[in-house]
Amino acid sequence: MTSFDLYQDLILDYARSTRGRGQVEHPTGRGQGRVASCGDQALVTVRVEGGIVTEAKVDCNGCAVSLASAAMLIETVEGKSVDQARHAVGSAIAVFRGEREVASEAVIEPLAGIHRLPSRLKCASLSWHAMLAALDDSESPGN
Amino acid sequence: MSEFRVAGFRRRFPALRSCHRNEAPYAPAIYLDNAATTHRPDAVIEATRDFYTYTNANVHRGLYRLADEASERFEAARTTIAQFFGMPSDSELIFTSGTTDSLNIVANGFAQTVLDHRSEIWISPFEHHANLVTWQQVARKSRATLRKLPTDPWGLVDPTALEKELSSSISPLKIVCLKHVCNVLGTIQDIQNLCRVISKNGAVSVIDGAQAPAHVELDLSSLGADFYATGAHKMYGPMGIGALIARRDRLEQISPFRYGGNMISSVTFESTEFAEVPARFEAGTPNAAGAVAWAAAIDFLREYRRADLHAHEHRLAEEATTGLESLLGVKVLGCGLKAPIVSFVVAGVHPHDIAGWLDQKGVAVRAGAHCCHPMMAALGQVGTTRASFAPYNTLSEVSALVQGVSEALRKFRL
Ligand SMILES: Cc1ncc(COP(=O)(O)O)c(C=O)c1O
Repeated sequence: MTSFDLYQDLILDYARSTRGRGQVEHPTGRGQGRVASCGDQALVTVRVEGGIVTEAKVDCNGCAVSLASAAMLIETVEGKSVDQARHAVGSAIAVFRGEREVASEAVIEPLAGIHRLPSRLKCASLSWHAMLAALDDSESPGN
Repeated sequence: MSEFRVAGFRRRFPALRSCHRNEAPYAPAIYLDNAATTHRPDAVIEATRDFYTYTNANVHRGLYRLADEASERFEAARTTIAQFFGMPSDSELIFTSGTTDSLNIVANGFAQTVLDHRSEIWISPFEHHANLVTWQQVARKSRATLRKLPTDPWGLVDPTALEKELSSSISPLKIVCLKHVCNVLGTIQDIQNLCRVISKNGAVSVIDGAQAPAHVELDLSSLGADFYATGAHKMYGPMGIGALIARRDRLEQISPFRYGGNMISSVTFESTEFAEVPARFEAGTPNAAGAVAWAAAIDFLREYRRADLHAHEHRLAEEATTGLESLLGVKVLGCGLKAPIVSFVVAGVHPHDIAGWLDQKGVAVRAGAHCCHPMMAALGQVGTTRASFAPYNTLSEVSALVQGVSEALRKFRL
């Protein structure tokens, strides 16, 4: 296993940023994620207006990796159409798993090596899975 | 027996000798996750090899010398293990795949046959999922009531308080499930007195002894448990083997629920008569090499004075506790006389980050909920970081732990 600096400054900077933390008021969709092994949870709320993700937030009690990853998630999806957002989230999860190369200048670049630490992969992808659920929820007939 | 020396003890564990610390920065050189599983000494690895090399045959089956030898070694291992645990003469040792398996046998074999809607299962939120989840399922299927044991804030049960609860319950059948040594806090239940109270009130005791054999001198004949579940891999033995030690009269109440070879005495096309205990509960080919290697772990331990090993482990745990508590905002959980398991929390820093940082420094500790989610809720924590010690650990490893945590505080306290 090659080394990967989990606690490089860039990741910690993201972890410290409070951008996108908490819950969106009047969300159109909600999605929840949970890591079974440690019990960490994330609740993603989104507001989609005219097919665009205008606001998204993550409420999460996790470790620095999951907090950093959540901040990157919000930066990735806000302002995108639902389809673009879904695509970007899907690609990021594939990068975390080591199944595809990270695009140059992608927000998630600092976490691209997380697949080398399988035990931490779940921390990184927690909120991203919850986001997929929130986007689906936003488009479900009840909304 | 000569004076205990850590270096000599440590040298007998190949996993500690062959650490590739400089070549692979992620290989944990400092192993402080012994409550999850210990390392194994040469003698245990060699015993496995020896069994498969010189006495490899299926046990209790073949009609040739080799098979007899295999069976003899398997049964000799049973005797060695039974002696180590001070097994009472009115009980039996059933080989299982581990503590979880042993608890499941009690739950699905014994409990499922005797419990009904009037019965009660007494358990606390501090139990390991292997115990709690198993009994939740049994309660659901048998319609028995799951009742909360009275505990102090660290999960300890006071025999007098238990007596009061049990004696005021009118349920005709009560099962009380408890872990002997807590895998998270290292706290030790007063099992002997608790079992006395349990049996005095006509209830059945089921003790989860996963963590105990490494840290407590066990004498099951004076402990008084109806069922004692334990395993090899947290006491220097191999993974994949454990035991259920139980009173014979209790076992005779259990109908077998796994069927196959070895557990029968006669089979016709239509029906089967089951073998006596313990064979009745050991369906299929057993982990004979595992049993032999577990006995080797016990022989290995016998080369040392247990008191010396325990004294050294406790010294490590005490140093760790003092060192960690000297750091601002760090709190070590638990109280009283403890096994050398040190769980701590740090205000404002997630346990994963402490463990992740320590891992980068080559120190392996466990972080999270330790298979005890309801316990974390009871403690009001998302999780803890846990360092657990074995006699091969050293004071300089404790220093590395404390140093690493102190760095993590500077790095992560946001
Ligand atoms: C208290 C306790 N009970 C049960 C178990 C389960 O043991 P095993 O996984 O060996 O079956 C463990 C192991 O972590 C434990 O610590």
